[in-house]
Amino acid sequence: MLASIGLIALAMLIAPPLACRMDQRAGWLLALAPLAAFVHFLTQMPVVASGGVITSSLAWVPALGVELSFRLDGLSLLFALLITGIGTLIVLYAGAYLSEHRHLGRFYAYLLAFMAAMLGLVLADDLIAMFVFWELTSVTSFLLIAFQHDKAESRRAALQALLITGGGGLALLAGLILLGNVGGSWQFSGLSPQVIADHALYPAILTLVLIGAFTKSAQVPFHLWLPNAMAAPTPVSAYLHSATMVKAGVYLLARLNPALGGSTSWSTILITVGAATALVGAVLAIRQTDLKRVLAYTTVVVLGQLTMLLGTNTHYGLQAFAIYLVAHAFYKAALFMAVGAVDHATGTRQISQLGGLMRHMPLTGVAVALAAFSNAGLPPFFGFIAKEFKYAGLIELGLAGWITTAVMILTNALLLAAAGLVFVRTFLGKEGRYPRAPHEVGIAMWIGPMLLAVGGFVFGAFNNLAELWLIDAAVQAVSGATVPVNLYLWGGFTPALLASLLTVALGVFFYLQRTRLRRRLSLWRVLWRVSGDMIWDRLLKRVFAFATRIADRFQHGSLRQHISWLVLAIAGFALIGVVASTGDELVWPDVTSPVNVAALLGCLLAVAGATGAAVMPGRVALVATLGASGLGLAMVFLASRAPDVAITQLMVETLTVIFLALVLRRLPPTKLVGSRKPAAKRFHAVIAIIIGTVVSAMMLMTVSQPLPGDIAQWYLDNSLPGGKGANVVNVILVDFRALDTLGEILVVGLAGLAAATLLGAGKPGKGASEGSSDFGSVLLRQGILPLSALLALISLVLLWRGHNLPGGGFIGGLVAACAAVLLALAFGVNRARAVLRVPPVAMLAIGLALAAGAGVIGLLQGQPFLTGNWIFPAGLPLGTPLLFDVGVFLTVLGAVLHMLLCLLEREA
Amino acid sequence: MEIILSITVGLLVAIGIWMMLDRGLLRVVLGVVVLGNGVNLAVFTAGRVDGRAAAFVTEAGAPALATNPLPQALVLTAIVIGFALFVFALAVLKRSWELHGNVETDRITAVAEEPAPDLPAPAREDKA
Amino acid sequence: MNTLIVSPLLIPLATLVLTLLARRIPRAVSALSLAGALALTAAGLALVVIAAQGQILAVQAGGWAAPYGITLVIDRLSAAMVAITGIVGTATIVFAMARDEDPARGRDFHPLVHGLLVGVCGAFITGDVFNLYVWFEVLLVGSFALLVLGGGKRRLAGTVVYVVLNLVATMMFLLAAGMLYGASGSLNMALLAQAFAADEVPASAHAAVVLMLTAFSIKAALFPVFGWLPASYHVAWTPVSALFAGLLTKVGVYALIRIVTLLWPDAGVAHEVLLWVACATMLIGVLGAAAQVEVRRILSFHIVSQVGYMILGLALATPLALAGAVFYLIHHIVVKANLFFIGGIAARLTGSERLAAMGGLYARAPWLAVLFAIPALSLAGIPPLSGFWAKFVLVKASLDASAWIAAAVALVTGIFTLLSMSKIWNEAFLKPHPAGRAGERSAAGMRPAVWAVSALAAMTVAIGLGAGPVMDYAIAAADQLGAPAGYIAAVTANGGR
Repeated sequence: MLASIGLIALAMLIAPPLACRMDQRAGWLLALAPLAAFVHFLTQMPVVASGGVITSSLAWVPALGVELSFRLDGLSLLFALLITGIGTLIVLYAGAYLSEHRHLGRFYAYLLAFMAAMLGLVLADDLIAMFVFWELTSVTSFLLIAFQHDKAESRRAALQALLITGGGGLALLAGLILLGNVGGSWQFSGLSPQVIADHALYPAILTLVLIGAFTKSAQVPFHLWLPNAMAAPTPVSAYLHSATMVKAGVYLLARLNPALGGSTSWSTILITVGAATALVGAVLAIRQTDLKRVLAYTTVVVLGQLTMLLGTNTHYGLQAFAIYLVAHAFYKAALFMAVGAVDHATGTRQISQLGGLMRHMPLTGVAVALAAFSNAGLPPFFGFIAKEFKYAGLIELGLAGWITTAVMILTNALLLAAAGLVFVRTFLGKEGRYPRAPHEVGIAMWIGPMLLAVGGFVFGAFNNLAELWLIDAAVQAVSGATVPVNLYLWGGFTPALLASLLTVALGVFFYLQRTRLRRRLSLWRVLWRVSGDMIWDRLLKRVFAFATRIADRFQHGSLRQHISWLVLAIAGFALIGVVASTGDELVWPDVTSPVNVAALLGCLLAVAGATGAAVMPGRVALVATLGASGLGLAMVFLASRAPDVAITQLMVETLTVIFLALVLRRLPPTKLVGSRKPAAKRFHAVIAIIIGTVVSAMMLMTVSQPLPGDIAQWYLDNSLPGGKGANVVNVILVDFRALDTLGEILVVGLAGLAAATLLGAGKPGKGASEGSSDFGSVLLRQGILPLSALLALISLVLLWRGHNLPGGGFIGGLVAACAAVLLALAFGVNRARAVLRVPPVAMLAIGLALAAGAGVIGLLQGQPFLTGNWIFPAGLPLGTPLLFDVGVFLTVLGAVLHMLLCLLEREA
Repeated sequence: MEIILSITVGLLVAIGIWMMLDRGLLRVVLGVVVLGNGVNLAVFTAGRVDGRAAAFVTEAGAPALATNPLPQALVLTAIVIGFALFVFALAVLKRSWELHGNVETDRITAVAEEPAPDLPAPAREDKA
Repeated sequence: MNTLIVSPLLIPLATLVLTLLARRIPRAVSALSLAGALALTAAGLALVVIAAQGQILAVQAGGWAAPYGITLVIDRLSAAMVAITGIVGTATIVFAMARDEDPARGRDFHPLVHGLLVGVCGAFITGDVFNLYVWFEVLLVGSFALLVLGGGKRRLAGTVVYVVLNLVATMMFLLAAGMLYGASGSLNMALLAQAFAADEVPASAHAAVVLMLTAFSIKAALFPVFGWLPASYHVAWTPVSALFAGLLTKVGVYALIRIVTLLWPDAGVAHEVLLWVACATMLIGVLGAAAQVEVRRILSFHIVSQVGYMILGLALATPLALAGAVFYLIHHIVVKANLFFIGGIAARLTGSERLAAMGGLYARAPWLAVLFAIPALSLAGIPPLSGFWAKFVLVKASLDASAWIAAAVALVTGIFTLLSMSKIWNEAFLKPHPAGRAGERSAAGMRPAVWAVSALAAMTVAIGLGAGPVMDYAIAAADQLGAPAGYIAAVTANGGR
């Protein structure tokens, strides 16, 4: 079974190149693939007809219990034969129908892909594997419907079909998952009906599965995509929208009938929806003027009837289902192909323009005649048997059955009238008005309809053949229990026969009175105005309008709104966290260290400075107050006995001010006019207060208890023996947690690269060649030289002693950068670059390499990355952490220099 | 002391956010600095400030009541990272002033929401 | 083994250094960059092979024992993330070799990409909260630099939003990390997990974790804090936005998964909140996408929506749901990056990324149509592609957990995703180009881009058809996540000085 799917998939892959080489003749070659599959399935008939099943299985996702398991029983065999048999004819037909199309190769590929998917769908025994193929039929049919892609109508129809069937598919997925969970198996054949029926989730499963099946099989109210899908080329309509894809939903219902059927809700829903679909389809069919759309709506009718028959669950009903399925596939595919041939030959499908085609297209005409008789349900065609059994099946139901029978008679009569339109109106009577001279089509185009139409006759006339080989096994598979099957043309004078005669009489009446009937129908304006398509368009429009409203909430392009909502959300979540973790009581810290006056002053300065920066109008004041704030922070650190942090803060503050000054100097002096609106101001103040309060509260919570753990003490104890350094903070930075530092210098390096590009953009200034005018006097310049040399020296000292005293790579690097800044300001960037010799970017890279390389030394000795290795020449401890610190020094220096020099080069 | 520091953290965070909600990009960037200062102080405070002596050790061992060195190392790292980010933000500020002019921040950021411009035509068409 | 564990850091770092030193020779930079990315991929795959055997690898940087030194940990999840990072990084670098008029295609691109990769890999393999912060900063500053690369008003405007909002997020992370240390006295994830499991931490530690998760949520672009993403991703150069789309939010997702599974392995209030956040993220993201009329904006909103799926898996906290989240992560990174790449090629060929101004690609570039269809359908969860299995597992996990609303939202989001993808398909591919043949641009010099895209598309198909082994791996990874004891044991057993 897998082989037959694979064969068709293979044909799909070679189709485009093949079609390129040999045009429509490729069709004959490609048709061999489905033909071979068809023959293969034919050979399986004896086994299946005698009640056997053929299975095969391939593991796929064992962890989820999903496998590619296939199972050939009567139902799947019936479908497989239809799919491959009709598929073969369609491939031939398409080659001729689209012979001039430049994308014929693609068409073959899509068609064969669809065929493979459809075949997989009906053969799969695994629920999920079936779903996989189910979705693939949706996607491939999307491609086929949109095949004439330059037409907006095709694109719209394709999208509609995809969304409706795809949406249904998602419901189906949920339904199948629940079904598998509840039914205790991921195989259709392993589901236990009793457990499912009694489970609390049965209604949910039923609803979800039915949505999936109904969307696929175009049941009301999901029927609208099917007629629109007629935008596809005719071979597609003939194949997908008559014989195969739309039957997938019906197939699924039949497949699940043993597991889900048998309940009242199953019967009620299926019969109601099926009957409604049939009725709506029939009424709409008779209103159409395009022959193809007439056929499309009659397909809707049939799908409704098939659904209904499954709902009856009576012996006759299930037999009728199987018979009708085959009969319809035969005649509908034949009629679609024939209508395509007519379109191809005459250039029109409008009923009003057609007539008297029999003399031009006799072969097609004969095929249509035979198919239309079957369609009309006239003896001795297969369609007749189907109709008889339908009525018999419904009548078995009792009162509800009689009502539905009445509906059925009405719809069947309309079907008969439609069949009349297709044959009598088109092929008999007076000559129509054709855009081009009609002619008989080639063999590839008439052979399909002819074979299928004759098949409808043969199966009807020799119905025991069909019963023996096909229908019996299929009915048993659908029912799940043993059902006696006995096909006949003549069953005596039964109520069914009466209904049948009534249908024919009514159908002939409808056909003759069709003009008046149509006029009557168009009087119900209200009804047509709320057509499905309109609701669909409105729905989409609503959805898009709603989506736009949502998107606008996030695409306002206002940074301040972004920040406002972000901060509020943060505060909100943090508050949830506080409340959820503590209950509702906040503990005021009882364990806290005594107040340190210097630190308190630092705090005050930091807050005052920040406040100043927040409200001061001028730039100079802004920079000054910001600097003061940072200074306050440094005071806090220093007063709290954290000299390294304090020095770093100071150095950073200095460089911050330098950078700010350099950037602001060049900026336009214009101030922003006006201030924020008072309302906005209040809103922003509230946000700031909220986040500040939340953060304060969380901080207070944090420090309300003593710090657990012994980590601090461990660092103090191990710094000297383990890290060979007295400055514990530095030892942590370059040894205990050197990995942090490695990441940190990488940040500095990357920021340097990035900022330099931005700072260096724009017009080059004269900063490159000359020094800054602020350092105009020669004397000053001469003074700067030794000063920067001194600073450079100090930086090296700081680097060296950092391991034991305040200092280290960072601080040293920052001081060295200051030295270089002085040089560049005084003598120009070019001179500074010359003095440095090493380009800053290279320095940065080497620094990173040194730092990482210091870590690699440990690796080379089989130790973890960044493990310190020490040697003691002359008692002096030298180790990789020191090398690491040199890397830090160089990276910081290189990055800061790179930014500064790039900035200065653009300075006036 | 931790209480005072905790409140200071909250104040700095609040002021930083307030500045970031300003109309001009300069104060937004400086707001980032203030916010960063507040957060750095928070990390520092989280290690408690009950130490009496700086975290320098001798052969004899650590001084009694030495400060907690770990948060100091973390803050030092955070300060330098913050500085790197600040310079980048400053560079963005300078560039946006050059390209957009000294206008309200929201007018700058709104540009990103304008429809995508057409791609420039390739300089020359190669037959490759 | 010591070397292999740190190789995800050292390889891109070394590549960064080398590309910086060779920056005057563009060809050398490209070659080095490609070699580095390939080496990273190889290292990642080697780690996956080792991690697949079930052992959690842990190493203490500097050889210092657990709470004092920094722990690096490789379990199945982090190994997979490193490998996928290498793959997407390689694809990005190959793509960037294609001809492009964008000024971003300069010498800084390659070193910056590798800098970003160091940060991303570091975040995936670290076992220390503060160290995680540092790697976040590395990838953040790398992303700043890459985003603004090439300059221009529009790109700068997007950068302003991106930089400011992400700085707020990252500072909240630092704040939370500090508080967590202050409350629990530890920064080591494994030891924190131990303390949390033993209920030895004060309430404030839990509150700090919430703040931290909020910061991660911003990085992961969850509702309601995803605003920065659709405001900025569409302005960058194509390879840059593809790299971001693939990797950056996923680092946030990874961090969320890591911290939540370690500290709160049992479902609780946090999971409840996350479940609602996940549902809202899926829906709002996908609805936002429906309103968009440009390729990359559509895709950007879909990132948000799909992050919701991953968080759904995390919030449900069942083994299957976690496996779904892991599978989704792996699948999504490949697919999303690829769609951004393809969007870039499509824009190159049509001259615009506005759907209204695009068209004609189906007739003109059928190869691109095929290449688009694969990730697009995968994104929409169409079987048998990778996205189907990701969605299937999460929907199944939701249904198994009786989380009906979540399952419904996940499915509805699927159909909207399909809508968006078919919108791009209809507009950019099927529809004729509005300017006719005149609107068609040459595809000259695009070969490297097509290679990159084809390779990722092949991966999508492979993950879909060969879902068995990948799913086994994801389930095994979820088992490790679901039982943090193994992680803790691996770290604590790994003594040091």
